Amino acid sequence: MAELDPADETYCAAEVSRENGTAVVRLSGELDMVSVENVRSVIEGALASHGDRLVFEVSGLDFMDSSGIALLISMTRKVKAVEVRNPTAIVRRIIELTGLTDILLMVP
Amino acid sequence: MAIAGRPTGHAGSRARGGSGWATHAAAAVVLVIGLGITITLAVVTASGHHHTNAKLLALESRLISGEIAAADPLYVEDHLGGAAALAAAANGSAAAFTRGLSGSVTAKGPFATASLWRLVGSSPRMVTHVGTAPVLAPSSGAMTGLLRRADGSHTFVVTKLVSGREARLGYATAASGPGGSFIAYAEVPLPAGGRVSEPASSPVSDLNIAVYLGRSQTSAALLEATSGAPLPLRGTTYTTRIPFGDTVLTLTTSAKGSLTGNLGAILPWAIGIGGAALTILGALLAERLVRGRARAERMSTEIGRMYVEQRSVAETLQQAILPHEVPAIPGMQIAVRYLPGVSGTEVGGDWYDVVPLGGDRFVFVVGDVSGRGVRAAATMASLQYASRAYALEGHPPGVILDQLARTRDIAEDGHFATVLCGLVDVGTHEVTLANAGHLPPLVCGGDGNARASLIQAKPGWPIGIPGSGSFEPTLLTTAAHDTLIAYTDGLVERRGETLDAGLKRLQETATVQCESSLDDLLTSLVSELTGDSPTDDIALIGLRWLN
Repeated sequence: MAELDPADETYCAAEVSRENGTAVVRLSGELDMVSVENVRSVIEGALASHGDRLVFEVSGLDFMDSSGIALLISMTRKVKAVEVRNPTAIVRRIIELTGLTDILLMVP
Repeated sequence: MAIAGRPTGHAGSRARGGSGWATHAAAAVVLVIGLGITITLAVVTASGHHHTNAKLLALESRLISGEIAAADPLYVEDHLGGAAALAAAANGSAAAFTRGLSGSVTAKGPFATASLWRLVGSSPRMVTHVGTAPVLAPSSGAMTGLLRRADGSHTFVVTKLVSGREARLGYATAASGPGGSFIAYAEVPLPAGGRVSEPASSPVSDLNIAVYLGRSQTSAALLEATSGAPLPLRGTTYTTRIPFGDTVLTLTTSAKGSLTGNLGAILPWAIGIGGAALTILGALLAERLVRGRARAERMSTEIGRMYVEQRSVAETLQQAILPHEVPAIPGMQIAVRYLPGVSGTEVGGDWYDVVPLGGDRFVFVVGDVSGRGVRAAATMASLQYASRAYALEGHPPGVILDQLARTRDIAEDGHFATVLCGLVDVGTHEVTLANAGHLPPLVCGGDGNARASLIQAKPGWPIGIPGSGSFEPTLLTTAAHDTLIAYTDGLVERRGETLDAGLKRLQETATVQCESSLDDLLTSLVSELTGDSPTDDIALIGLRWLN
């Protein structure tokens, strides 16, 4: 039922690029239970081979719920380290309050 | 619990039965309209074809009749009449008569025989004769009558003669001279059996033609007709009369086939058959489309119903698991709330639980499984029963969470859970908390120290995260009449703001309402923080020490 339309308030855009061999997933919008499956398929489609590190650039992420956390954590099974780059206060607090600062490495 | 009123079979067959005539109706409408258009087109084309053929037939017939009118009477006037005039001028000279007909009386025609007659009183007497013997006997009354008729006519007279299988036309024409009246008589052979074959190259080879002497179309009057033509001609015929001596020729024609070519004749049939085929195709297509649409509508209804049913299954599951009334614990007042979120159709995996351990100790649990739907609810159920079992075995909260962490892996189903577990000793006011990634509980005092504070303690990883475990307990000692509130994120989470903002609102509301009854406090928290329409599920538990 999750139709992903940019006009939809629960839309999340995901772009995958490479920086010196490291995959960088740029997320913007709202990562929640509605948008998460689409984002997951985008990421898994783009990451044919997983490197040592996966970077989520989340400066454009306005909202993330536990489904979003679940997505980020599921990626820790596939790479050695998951970095969450430029988290907004919203995302930062979710990760902190969930006790996941050791597993989702926030930079800065 | 039985899923009451499951209407799949009946609704399905009703829908099919109800849409049956409607699908046929659409096809029938297409069929009727298409066939109507086809028939109209075919009739119009056929009528146009018929009209054109009739016009062509008339045109060709007029050409033939014009040709006959221009040639045949003139030939008779010219040659037979000319010979009679020559003979009359020469006072009945046989030589003049013979000279006048030179080249006209031959074995090939046109005249088979010719004779010159002088009228003596009213009885004719032959002057001379050329060619073969006439069919009409010279001494017969018929010959006498014909010659007299010619004498009284200003033009030639004609009669049809039959002798055995041979038929001829007899002509007679009169001429006056100084020696009296002379009459020339000649016979022209008619085609054998009255039939002629037009060569295929003839411009009139596509017509059946019949020529009659006089006005009646009887076989006795037939002079010649196209071989093979059924007489009298049937179907669309064209009849015209051509002046011929003292009588007329009747010319009747009909078309052997289509005068405008095969295409003109085939076109109406082609339109009819092609149009009918297209119409049937269109009707089948319409039926298919209508059926497809009806099926899509049925499926859409079915899917909608399944979503509702799925939600109701998950809700039923969740409500069956969540205790409606928590166990009574001496010395404590305990209240709970569960609010399903309004967004989406799937339930969440929030839960709360209270497990009495005997004496005045009990364990409380608040948890939240990530994601939604039946699977989240099932994960929630397994975690709830597992935590209850571990609590009843007497494990402290940190161990309970350790055990829970071993039962689940996010890789299995994509779900993880945040869980807050607390062991309460009512008498000593001691609370041992362990937190697996859950939001901090809140304590507010009822004895003039209403300021609510969050119990901050570093949380361990949520249940289901690999490597999760070793949850450090946090010890807390409450005061008399203190209230402890544990909740799930639906209470404080709002889009567009940090969780801190929600936590601050929670603290402020709790501070203001802490001295209300426990039920009122929980009600206020829900209404103040969510406006009574939470987008996410909320589970909420309040513990108040009575002493």
